Amino acid sequence: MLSLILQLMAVSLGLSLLSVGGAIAVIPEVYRLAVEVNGWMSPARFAELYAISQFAPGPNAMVLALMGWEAVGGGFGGWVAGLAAMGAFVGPTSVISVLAFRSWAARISPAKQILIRAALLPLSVALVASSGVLITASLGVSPLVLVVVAAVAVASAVTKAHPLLLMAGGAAAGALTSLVA
Amino acid sequence: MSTPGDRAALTPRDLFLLFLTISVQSFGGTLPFTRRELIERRRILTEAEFAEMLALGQILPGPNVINMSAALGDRNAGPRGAAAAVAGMVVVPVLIVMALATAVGTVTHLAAVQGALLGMASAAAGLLLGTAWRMGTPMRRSLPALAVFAAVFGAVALLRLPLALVLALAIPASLALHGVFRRR
Repeated sequence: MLSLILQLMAVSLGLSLLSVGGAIAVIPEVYRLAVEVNGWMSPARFAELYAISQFAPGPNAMVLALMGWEAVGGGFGGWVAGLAAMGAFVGPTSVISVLAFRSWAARISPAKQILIRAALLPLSVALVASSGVLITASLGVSPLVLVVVAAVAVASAVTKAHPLLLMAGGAAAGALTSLVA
Repeated sequence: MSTPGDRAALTPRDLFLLFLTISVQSFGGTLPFTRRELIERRRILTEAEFAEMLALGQILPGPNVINMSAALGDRNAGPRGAAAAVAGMVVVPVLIVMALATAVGTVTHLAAVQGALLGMASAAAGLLLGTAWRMGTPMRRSLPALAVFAAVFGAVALLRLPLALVLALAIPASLALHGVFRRR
């Protein structure tokens, strides 16, 4: 178990260094590593854990804790692994952030900052969109999945509906469908 | 080291509690709650200081708001302040999310719960697509940005290439396309 926890920490550290535009941008890579490369969970279980992570408060990075928790199989070891994975995800990047804020980052001119953000934006958008597509695909194509994905995508794009409300709506639609089926 | 305005520096304990307060109420994204707490309620940062710190947090690797909390903690109380701020941001949410996953695990044998999880995960996927649409608003008329978007989406979602490889190629390309290297 110790070697698995160390491996999870290494994976988390690597992921954190790749998270340009926030933790949400590494979800496709979390999926690739946790499901495809290491086989820690099935595609459907990944989607389920991502959904649970979105239902809890806190930063978007919480899915990393659940990746660690699930890879170890839950239980006490899972809690240790979850905390360790999250520590590895936020620790080193926080050190980088502190050092950068103290030195060079604050000296980038505002005009250059705007250009850098504009250049990074299409990457972040593509990674968030990829996450949506990968999670949809991992759920298996069914009328319920397609209808809920489409309805929530449109609702969240054009209205200010609270994300939790939309998630609750999806949960209700899923529960009702399973009861009548 | 400077503290914003003329207010007294926050101690590590203050910082831990401040970011704990923010993190446990952050459902569906930390940004609005961080903004409200730091600017409106506690008046720790002005709107302009917040925007500047967030912008730097977005350029650096790592979760944006956590980068910002680390920098703010350091500015007030040095490395211990940074550690306290980041811990406030993540420790309790991690415990909550694992407790939630454990609780859900005890009832997943019920068909209705399985259905609800499937619907919830579908909604989470839909939220990601809607978020991408909203985030993309400023770049919808920019050809270089759309080209980078298409290339990265194709490489990640369709070809399933490793992210490190994609970023190693796409970041310099996008910076160049957007004129970051141009001398002015």
